[in-house]
Amino acid sequence: MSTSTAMLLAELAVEALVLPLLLVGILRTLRARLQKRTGPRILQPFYDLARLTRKSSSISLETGPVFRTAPAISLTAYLLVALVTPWWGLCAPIRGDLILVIFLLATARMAIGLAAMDTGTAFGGMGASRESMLSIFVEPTMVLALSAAALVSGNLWLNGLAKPSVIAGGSAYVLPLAAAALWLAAAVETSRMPIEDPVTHLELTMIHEAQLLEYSGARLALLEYQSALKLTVLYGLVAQLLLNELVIREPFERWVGTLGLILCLVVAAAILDTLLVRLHWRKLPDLLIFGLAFSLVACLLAALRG
Amino acid sequence: MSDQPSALISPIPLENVPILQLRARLKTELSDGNRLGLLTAMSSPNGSQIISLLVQTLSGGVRVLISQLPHDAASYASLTPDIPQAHWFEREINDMWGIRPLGHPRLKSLVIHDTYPDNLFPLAQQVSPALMRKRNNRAAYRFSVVQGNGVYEVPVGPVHAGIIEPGHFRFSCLGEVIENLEIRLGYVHRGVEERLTNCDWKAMRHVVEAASSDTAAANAVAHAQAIESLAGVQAPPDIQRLRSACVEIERAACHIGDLGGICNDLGFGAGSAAFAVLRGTVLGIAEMITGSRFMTGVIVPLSHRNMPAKPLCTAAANRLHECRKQLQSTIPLLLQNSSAIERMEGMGVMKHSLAQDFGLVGPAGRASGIDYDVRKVFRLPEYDCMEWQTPNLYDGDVLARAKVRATEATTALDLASVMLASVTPVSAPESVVELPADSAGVGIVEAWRGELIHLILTNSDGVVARYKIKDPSFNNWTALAVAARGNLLSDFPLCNKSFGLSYSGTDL
Repeated sequence: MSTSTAMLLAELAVEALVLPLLLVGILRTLRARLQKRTGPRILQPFYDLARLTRKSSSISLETGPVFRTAPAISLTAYLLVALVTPWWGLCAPIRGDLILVIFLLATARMAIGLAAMDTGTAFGGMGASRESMLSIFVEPTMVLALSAAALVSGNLWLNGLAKPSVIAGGSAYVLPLAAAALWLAAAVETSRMPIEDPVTHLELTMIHEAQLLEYSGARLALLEYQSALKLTVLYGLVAQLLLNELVIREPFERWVGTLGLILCLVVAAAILDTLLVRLHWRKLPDLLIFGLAFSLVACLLAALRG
Repeated sequence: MSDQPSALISPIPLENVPILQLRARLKTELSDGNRLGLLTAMSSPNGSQIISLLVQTLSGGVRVLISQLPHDAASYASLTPDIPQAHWFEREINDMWGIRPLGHPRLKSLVIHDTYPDNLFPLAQQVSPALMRKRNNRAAYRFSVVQGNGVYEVPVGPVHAGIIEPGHFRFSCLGEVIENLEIRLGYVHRGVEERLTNCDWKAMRHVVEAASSDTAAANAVAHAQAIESLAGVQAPPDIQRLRSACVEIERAACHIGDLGGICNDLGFGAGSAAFAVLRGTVLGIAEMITGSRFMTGVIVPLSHRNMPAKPLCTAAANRLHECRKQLQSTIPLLLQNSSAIERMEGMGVMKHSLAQDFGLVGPAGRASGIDYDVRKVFRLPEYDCMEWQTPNLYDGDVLARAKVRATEATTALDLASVMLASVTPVSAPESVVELPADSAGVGIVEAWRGELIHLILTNSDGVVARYKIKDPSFNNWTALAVAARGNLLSDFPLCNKSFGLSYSGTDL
């Protein structure tokens, strides 16, 4: 392993460990301030994680190995996504294509869904059913949005996203559309308003959260970190699509640009969390179909342009 | 005007009605514009008695019907088949007194749980630790079962994720749709009514304020009214005005708090925060005039503790007026927000005809076209201070309830402000009164959830033999269970919040 690769890995490790929790802290504090509350300190997610890790887990006797291993499996899947995608603005240390990414995301979703059903609780089953329903919209949206980006960059390797040199003369709306679609999919994946209220304590209204109700201690810590990582990686990918539209090539500029865009998306999430009313469950497809339509149009435009 | 004695001060008419004629009699009375205020039981030397309290909604009076059961009789013909609003009252009588309403369509325990010993009737017998240790042979409670392909049950509670009272909700769902909801309460039984018959009347006020603590002021006022009605004396008009102002402040604070709760259940953070701030301001004004944010410890029979001075009342009145302006600019956040309206419209509908059958009270009733407000029916003199209307809508959905509560909160701030501005401090002695024998005292208040009734009955020694509190939630719980049907599971919290019922008030 060359020194530069080692440096890159170290840098990625630091960024993947620190940035997600920091972003969640910023999001929570900002949301509280927008609602005239003092809110938690920005570093609170780090303390929460430390606290959860120290606590013991209580595990229902009804559960099997699926429940016990699911947090590790889904976190591993997201860590791999973080390793194969250029979400942080620089080339990924491991080469991976978009099919692999979609596969990893589906693996994580399946692990958590199965674990929720493994608990045998009504809430777990309800959450898993709702999550699978939404994934019908989210998965094709992600496939198509990333495909559109791949068509523009000319290959299926996602590292192409971080090398805008291959784009000649703008993307003709392909990338902004793909970015919008991916952003909407990310909103579902990260339980944001108006799809799901991220701060609710009402189990009956939960979608993703309902699957995690039985977890405690270190396993819950893994899941908390995983959801923070998910938010960061997905926002990072949206940022890459937008940066390519702006044709920013210099690695340092890209890195700074990515951070800036991720922060903008976090601020937008805090504002939307405060201002929006959660959509009626039956109205969700009406919103999610936009993501599907945007990504489809992006794909078509990309194909025509090629 | 204000010297005119209240309808409750002249002795409450007591009438003996043979138990066999009670059902027909009540049916006639209810069709003549009367309301079944409450139905309960008490023990007397000659056997148990069924007590019915009728509220004359047209003329603003109260009557008490007493039906003697034969000695050792432990059952009577149920009233519910003809009078649906007696449904829960009869289940309660069955639980607490062991008097079985024969022919009741859905007789099962209301507040007594499976873990208690068999044949435990908390109000009919002395409950000793030895009795509670007895072996438990009680038949298990049976929830209504919905059968069919794909129907599943979601049990929620009694321990909830938020800091709220305990209650168990059993949803039978088909997919995301609620086919049936059964609500099981009774997790907070504290023996309030039992305690009230065992203590001196001067100590009672501490107990009644804890009956349902978010309705502390209304409960204290109803208690004061009941004692005064029993003793045949009336508190000075200024004290009555101050009491009513307290009840209105409580109404405003609770409605504003629940409007914030509705925003919260919609996931609408900005609205939730705005209403929460406003509720805090109103509670601050309550503290200013009573020394307590929940106005406990000052409303007493015949008098008022720590009467606020005139300048303080004026200052509080002005601050309430300021609050009202803020409320008026906050309500549109929720009620002129198209996406919020879309979520609330047509959800959790309570039909007018059903609302009438259940005897719905308060804002939930007024959202379903039940035009019943204790303040209007009993024409309290202090409410003549300004022109005001109670809202009356017919849609019966979450939106209608939110609208009614928003309007009532605004009116309550107006009323409280005007009343406080005209309060002149008076000193009234907490004079010692002897309670008359064989009489009834009634306190009836429009609490923020609706009609709240306190009924006191004395025995031949002038000792309180029965103290019954009827919380407004007691009438409305069934309505919530019915209104939830056909809605989505994820919409239930919103529907629940629009009713905003009390668990502890139902379970004394």
